[in-house]
Amino acid sequence: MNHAQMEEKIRSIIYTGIDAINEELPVSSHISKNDETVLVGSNGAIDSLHLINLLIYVDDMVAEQLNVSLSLMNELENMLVENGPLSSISQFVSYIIRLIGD
Amino acid sequence: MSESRFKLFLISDFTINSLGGLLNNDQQSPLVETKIAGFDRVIPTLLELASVERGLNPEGLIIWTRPEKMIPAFGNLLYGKSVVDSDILKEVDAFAEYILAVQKKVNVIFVPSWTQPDTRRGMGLLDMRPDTGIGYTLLNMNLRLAQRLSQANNIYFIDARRWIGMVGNKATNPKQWYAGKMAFTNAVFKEAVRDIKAGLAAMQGFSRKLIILDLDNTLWGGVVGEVGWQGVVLGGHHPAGEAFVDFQRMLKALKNRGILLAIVSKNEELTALNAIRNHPEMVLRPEDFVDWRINWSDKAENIKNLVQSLNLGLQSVVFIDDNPFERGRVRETFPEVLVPEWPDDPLHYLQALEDLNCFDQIALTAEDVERSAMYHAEKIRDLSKTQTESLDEWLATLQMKITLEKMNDNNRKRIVQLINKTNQMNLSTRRMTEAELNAWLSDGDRALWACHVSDKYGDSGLTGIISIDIKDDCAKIIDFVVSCRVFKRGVEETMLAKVISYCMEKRITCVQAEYLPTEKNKPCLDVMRGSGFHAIKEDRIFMWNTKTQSYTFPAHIQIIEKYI
Repeated sequence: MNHAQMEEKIRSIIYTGIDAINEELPVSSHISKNDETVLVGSNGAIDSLHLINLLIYVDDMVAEQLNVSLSLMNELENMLVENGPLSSISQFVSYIIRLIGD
Repeated sequence: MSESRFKLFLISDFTINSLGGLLNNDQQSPLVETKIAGFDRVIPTLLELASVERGLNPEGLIIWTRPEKMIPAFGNLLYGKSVVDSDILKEVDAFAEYILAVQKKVNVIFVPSWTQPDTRRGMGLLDMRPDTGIGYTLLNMNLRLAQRLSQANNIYFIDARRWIGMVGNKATNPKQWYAGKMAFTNAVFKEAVRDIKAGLAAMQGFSRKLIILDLDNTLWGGVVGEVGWQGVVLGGHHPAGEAFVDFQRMLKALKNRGILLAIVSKNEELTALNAIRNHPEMVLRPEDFVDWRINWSDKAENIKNLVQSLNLGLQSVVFIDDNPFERGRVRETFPEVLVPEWPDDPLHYLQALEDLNCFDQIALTAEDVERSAMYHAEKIRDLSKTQTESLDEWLATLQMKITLEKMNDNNRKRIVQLINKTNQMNLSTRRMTEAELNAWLSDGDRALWACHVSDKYGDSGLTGIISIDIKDDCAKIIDFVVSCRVFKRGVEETMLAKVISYCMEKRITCVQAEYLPTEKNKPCLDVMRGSGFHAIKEDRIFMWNTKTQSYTFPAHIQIIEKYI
């Protein structure tokens, strides 16, 4: 799988995770699925509970589909820094790809 | 006008926010608005609710807990300590008391059963032994809790094991537990939403009452018109044959709890009825169906005609047909009719039927069990009607009896069911739980009569309710509900006459009925217009002055009054 394909794969996993979260949210609070969406931060779209759900979903799907164990919950502290991996969906995608590469 | 939302309060010792969100977003009626109690504050929350006035509380509660948390003795057993059974059951009883204490403060309480993760093997071989087993103890705890909670008619102990079973090994996720104290995954919560919404729908009278079935390749395999009844696939040592029999058995079970069955099929009537009567492996016989339209006409037309003849609304109907064209045609013509997608393979028919969550009932009454027989009596009654010259003449031949009685322990469930299920002949269409009705009746100067109708063709059961609220010199009719089964036979007039004679005895001079229109209760308006009451405010308010006029009981009905 080349980089672009990998990027697409991870983005698709994240978007499916967001779909699952949106099932629980009022329409007005739906998390929009685009690269610029800020997940965590001053304009963050996601609350702590749903963030946990998203991270666990991505964790499980990467393990299932790519056979890579990420343990994102153990990385949470690193991810919550300012302008960190959760500052946008595109950053999050890059971060996951980096972790997979490691 | 947007549908008002049923207010549910979720109380749990684990993170249950996802269930709340899924319930809020589920678009099936009735709509729900949830609030979540403080995390892990089950007992303090129940104590607070018990101390608050009824009207200030939410309408319903979901109390979903983990056994090891709520029953510490079970927690001890789980971690290998020696515990006496009676200590565990004492704690279960104490927990039940907390729930029972809030029962009168809300309309309904759902309590999912206690479970353990499927991955937990407990004591292995010894897990189901009475003296040591964790599995055995959990079953015993659930049984005890179910028994204790059954004291209250508005508490529903529901099977969470089924939800977990439906989801399988993805029902729990240790990551969600350790990171967010979520005891179950969303897949389990989605199953819970289906059952909870089905229960709420039943409470509010949205459950379906009639299943209309096709015949060929639906009740049996093959086309009876081509192969004859001896040639259809049904029973025998044949996978599909056995599956059709099991499907019919489940339909019969539904019929036995009050769901009506009918047939709409493109066939020769005689050929089809011969199959139903004569095939040795048919589970369903002609007497199991309240009516049928077996002909070559358009199925949508036949359904409309059949439903009208039963005095039901299309929103009460489920239509099952193996043919996607017929399903599409009916779905398009009558969006109110539930037309489930149907599997191609008959081996999945039973599962598809069991998967429909639209037949839930809040109670099973004698009327439910006898419902099909009552409709058969109605058919014979109708036949006799066509053979008589005038309506009055026909009514006089029926030898009708109406027993009027107050609400009591024997009829309470049926009264609540009738109030919540009746759409057409219903003055105010107010929906009430048993607790609400009890509270309403015991407050102020109010009265309610239940009406039990029978005639020479059979017993129609408790099929009418009328209630009044007396203020000063005026009695306002609040509920005026008559089942479509006994409609237009003098039952409505008898009930109005009862109210007016009661008011005359009490020297109450005015009786008033306010008609609250819905999409379905126009028949009630027609009754009020023909009742002799004086209509004001554009047929919304109907008045009767008892000073100037009594109301005559219909001559063809024998009235029996019970004073209990």
